[in-house]
Amino acid sequence: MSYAYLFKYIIIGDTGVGKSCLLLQFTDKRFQPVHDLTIGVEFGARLVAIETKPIKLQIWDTAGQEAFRSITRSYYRGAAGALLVYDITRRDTFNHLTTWLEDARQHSNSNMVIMLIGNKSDLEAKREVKKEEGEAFAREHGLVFMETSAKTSDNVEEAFINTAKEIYEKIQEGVFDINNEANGIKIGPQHSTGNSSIPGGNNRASGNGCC
Amino acid sequence: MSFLEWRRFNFFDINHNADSKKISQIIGNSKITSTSSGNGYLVICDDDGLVHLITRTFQVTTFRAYQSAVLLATQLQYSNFLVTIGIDEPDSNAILKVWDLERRDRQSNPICVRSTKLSKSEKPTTLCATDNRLLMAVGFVDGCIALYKGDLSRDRNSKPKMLKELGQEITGMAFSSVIKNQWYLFVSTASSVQQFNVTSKDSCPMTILDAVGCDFKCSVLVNGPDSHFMIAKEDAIYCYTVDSRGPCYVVGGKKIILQWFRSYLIIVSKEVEKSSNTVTVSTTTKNFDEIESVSITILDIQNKFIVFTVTIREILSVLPEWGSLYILTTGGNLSQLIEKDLQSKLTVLFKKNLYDVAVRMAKCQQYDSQALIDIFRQYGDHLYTKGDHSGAVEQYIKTIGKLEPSYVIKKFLDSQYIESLTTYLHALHKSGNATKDHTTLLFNCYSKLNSVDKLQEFIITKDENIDFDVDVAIQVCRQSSPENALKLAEKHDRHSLYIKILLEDRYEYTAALEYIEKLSTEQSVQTVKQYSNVFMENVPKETVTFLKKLCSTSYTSGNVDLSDSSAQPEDFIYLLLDDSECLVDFLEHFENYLDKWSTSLLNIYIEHCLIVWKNESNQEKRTTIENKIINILQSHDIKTCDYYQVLILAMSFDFKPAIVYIFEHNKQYTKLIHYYLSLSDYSAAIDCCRKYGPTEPMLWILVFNTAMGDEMFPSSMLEEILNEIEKKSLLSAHFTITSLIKSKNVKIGHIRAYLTSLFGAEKKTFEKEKEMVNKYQKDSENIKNTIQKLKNCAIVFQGLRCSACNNQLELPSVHFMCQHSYHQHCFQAFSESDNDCPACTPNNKKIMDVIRTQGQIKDDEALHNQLKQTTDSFSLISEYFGRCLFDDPSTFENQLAKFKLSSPVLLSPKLVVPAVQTPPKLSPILAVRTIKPSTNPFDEDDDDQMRYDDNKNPFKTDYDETKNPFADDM
Ligand SMILES: Nc1nc2c(ncn2[C@@H]2O[C@H](COP(=O)(O)OP(=O)(O)OP(=O)(O)O)[C@@H](O)[C@H]2O)c(=O)[nH]1
Ligand SMILES: [Mg+2]
Repeated sequence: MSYAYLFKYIIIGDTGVGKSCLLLQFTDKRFQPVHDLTIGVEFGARLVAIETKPIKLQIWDTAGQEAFRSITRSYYRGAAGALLVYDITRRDTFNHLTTWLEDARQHSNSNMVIMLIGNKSDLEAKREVKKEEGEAFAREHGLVFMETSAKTSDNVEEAFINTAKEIYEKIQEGVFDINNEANGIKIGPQHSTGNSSIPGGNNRASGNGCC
Repeated sequence: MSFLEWRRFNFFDINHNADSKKISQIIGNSKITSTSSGNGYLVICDDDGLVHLITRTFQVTTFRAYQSAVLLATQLQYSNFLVTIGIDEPDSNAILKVWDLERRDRQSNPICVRSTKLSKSEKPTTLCATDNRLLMAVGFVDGCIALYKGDLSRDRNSKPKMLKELGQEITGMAFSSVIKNQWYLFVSTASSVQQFNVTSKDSCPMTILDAVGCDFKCSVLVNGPDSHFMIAKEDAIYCYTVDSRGPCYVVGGKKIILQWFRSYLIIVSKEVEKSSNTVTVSTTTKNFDEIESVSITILDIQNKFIVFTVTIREILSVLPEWGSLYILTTGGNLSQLIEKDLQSKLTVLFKKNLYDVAVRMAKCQQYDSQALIDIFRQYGDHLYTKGDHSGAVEQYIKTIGKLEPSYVIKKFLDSQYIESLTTYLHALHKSGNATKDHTTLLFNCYSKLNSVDKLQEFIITKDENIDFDVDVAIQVCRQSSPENALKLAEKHDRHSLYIKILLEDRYEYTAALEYIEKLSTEQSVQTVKQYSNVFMENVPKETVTFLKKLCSTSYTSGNVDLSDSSAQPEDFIYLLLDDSECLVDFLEHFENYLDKWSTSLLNIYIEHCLIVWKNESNQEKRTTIENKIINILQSHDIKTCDYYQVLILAMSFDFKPAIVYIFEHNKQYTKLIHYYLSLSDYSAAIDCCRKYGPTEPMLWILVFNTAMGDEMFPSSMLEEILNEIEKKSLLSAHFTITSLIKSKNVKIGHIRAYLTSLFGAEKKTFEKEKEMVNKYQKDSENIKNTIQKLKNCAIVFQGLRCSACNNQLELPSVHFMCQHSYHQHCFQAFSESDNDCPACTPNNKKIMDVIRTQGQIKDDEALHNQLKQTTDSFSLISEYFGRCLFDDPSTFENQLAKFKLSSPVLLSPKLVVPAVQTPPKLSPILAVRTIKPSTNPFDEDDDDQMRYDDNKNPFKTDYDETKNPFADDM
């Protein structure tokens, strides 16, 4: 599997907001109605295309339970993107966002792209957090915002891909040091299985040079 | 942390003392230093330098590998090589040995195929080798790793490559190959995890994966598509891929051993906290008094279950072999863990209503589909009873194709669940398992739910993958949303239904017409025929226009023969029968194709023209119509025009021009005159007589007869009639006069001319005939005299020349009464019979023939024919009498016979009697005059004469006509 870049993501947020479901929907395109607590960190990967470039997304889905916080924190470090998730039907998950954000900012590299996600948009009837509130919070903290539903897959794809786009733009702008893997970005293997990817590799090299 | 744990199950059975204490006996007091398993063996090494190979049946082979002690051992998984590191002499470098377990020496000990002294004196801590025997690594206590490349079973002097020093003792190593021919070596120390790419010969770049490490035996490699190197830490198990951290599973306890078996992660850990919440398995309670309780936990990583936990004292190693797990304690006790079969696992899951897990598990193990369906159904039932209907439907959908749909549908029939039912039905359609009833139900659901959008979507997507009965769908849609029904109908070419809906539900007649117009001719004809009545009732004008268009295409396209598919005007006439004007207008549209019209069409057209004509008061228009009809009659091909029908029509409408035309056309002049007379149009009748009289004189008689009976008949015309009758002697004068006398309104003045001429003519005839009588009387008198003479007087033969050769007559000679004389030799040469005069024979023969043939006309038919053809039948019959044709034929024959008999008497040369006895001359003359030439019996005889053999005729060449002795007689 050849790719131009590998981006590492992390999904954080209170327990039960639907982090694992988002990941499952994104990687497997299915929905899990039963809440299987994440005990530790789960992991998923998928290949996407940004501006026709294949990009591999490696995603850590962390446990939201307070008890696992110490373990999950160690995963912030190598991530280029974070999905900060709250549940629009539970206000407390929204209220905890500040704590999560501080935590993330503290343990991750400063350039990490954070996408704020209000999940379970399909449960409009049970909504406790207005969309505007989410938007306002995102604006205030310089985040990208999106409401999703892991159940109906509404906006799920977009959430992951838009984050990737954002990261990609930052790379183009030269914000990321792509040679430092601690940033959660890795250049694809130069010696990939297909011969055709060799010119692609050259392109990347030249692209990097100009940045 | 115990409540933040995965679900617990018991999917393993434990078999304590699997080896019947064999191992502990063998080991005795020695200390086990290293264990391994693979390729059918459990391998146990001790500090005495012995290696114990244990087979499945617990047959033990013990051999001495080292003089002092065995430090490390690894058995290759699928090959018969065992690698060991041990010490032969104290204070010298350890020795690496490779054993071939297949090849045995005399003591049946494996043969050592390689023995290499390690290059370092430091203590080796870890050993690993790849199954293909090409890579091997030894880790040392100081953080060095020696990498051996090349066939490790060969004793070569190849020096190992020393990898980058890690500065800390190596606690775990594993080779991994994610991509083919790409080899990585995962290495763990107490405080780090890293990976070396050992693919290339020269450099082996290192990647640091984490800054946490693990103890001995606390790392394991999981091979497979997403291969992970796992290390066990106090708080959790961390996983690594070749390039990054992977997932992490939080499991508490101080880890002692990490092992992988099938898809299970086996963790042996010490409970640090004395609260020991985890120790709940009953079998472990007896060990509760132990100071240090060691528990073994098996995790199903995929499903996130704890599938087994047990507490066992002093676990030394966990060895997977022969499809199960073996747990070896320091004392040499061996326990076996056997995985339960799938069915019993599923039963457990069902009990806990973990259907989704059951499904996942069943799928993983290639469970057969029927059983899976059953799980889905149970799951669905479970969710249903829980009240999660949408969830239940989701499960039921998975049973489609196997489970009878009615099972599911029944459950959701309540209107509360209609949404779920809809989902199910939709899926049913998508899978192509839907019947008509399902379609009906689904559409009803849609309409009940008022979800027009969904319905539309369903309808639109139909083409691609959803199969349903379109007709039913349309019917159902009709009731709720005609809009959609129309769409459906249009999409699936249900034109007739489309029109039906337009007409019956929406009353959009013109729209319907427009729609039909777009269809192919065949289709539109079909549809129009079906609904023509409705169209006519509601939008007659448009309909007629439409029909005109439709029908003319059938004419112009030229394939009129395909009568079922194309539109024939006939087919639509019935619609317009009530409105003749309209019909006429309609049909006139096709006037240009008149020659293609059928007979019935033409009749109908004429009939309705007549109706219009009859109802028309405007004289001018009437004449136009008249002209039109006559034109059609004139111009039309006789084949298609049924004049008889038209005549009846014309009669019933009193449409004179057509009647007259047809009578004339059919040459039915009699009828025509009758018609005229019935109209009392006498002059027309007379005109007609004048016109056709020459060919049909009877017309005059007809008029005459009518005139006699009809008091209204203008007598002035009588003159002409009488004149005509007289001229053509159509009626006997007697009859005419009788009729005239009977007639009441005939004035003598009108017939005077007739009578005068009549009598004048009569008189002339009378005189003529009188003359004739006189002449005939004279003639017969003459003949009588001749006969008398012949009978009684002597005859003087005065002929001087031979009638044959015209030379002087010489004796002997022959003389006939006809005054012909011959030389005897001439007579003999020419005569056919001795009795006949050769000169007279032809003529006599002719006469005889006539008499004979006359007798042969016995055929009644011939007579009748002649009677028919002749104008004067009376004379014909009298002639027949004259010829005795009505006599009994036998008597005639007798007469002839008698006559013949008399001839021989006249053998002596004398006149042949028959010559004189011919019928009276008058008769043939009469016949020539009256009988048509072709029937003249004499003419026929002329023909016969032609057949007379010319060669025998002596008169033909020798004499010219003037000298012919018979010329006078002729
Ligand atoms: N209706 C609805 N339910 C959702 C959605 N996403 C998640 N859920 C449900 O929310 C529950 C929790 O989902 P998870 O994804 O397991 O939650 P999590 O954030 O991973 O929780 P932790 O692993 O404990 O951090 C599950 O029962 C899901 O079915 C959504 O978009 N809509
Ligand atoms: Mg989770």
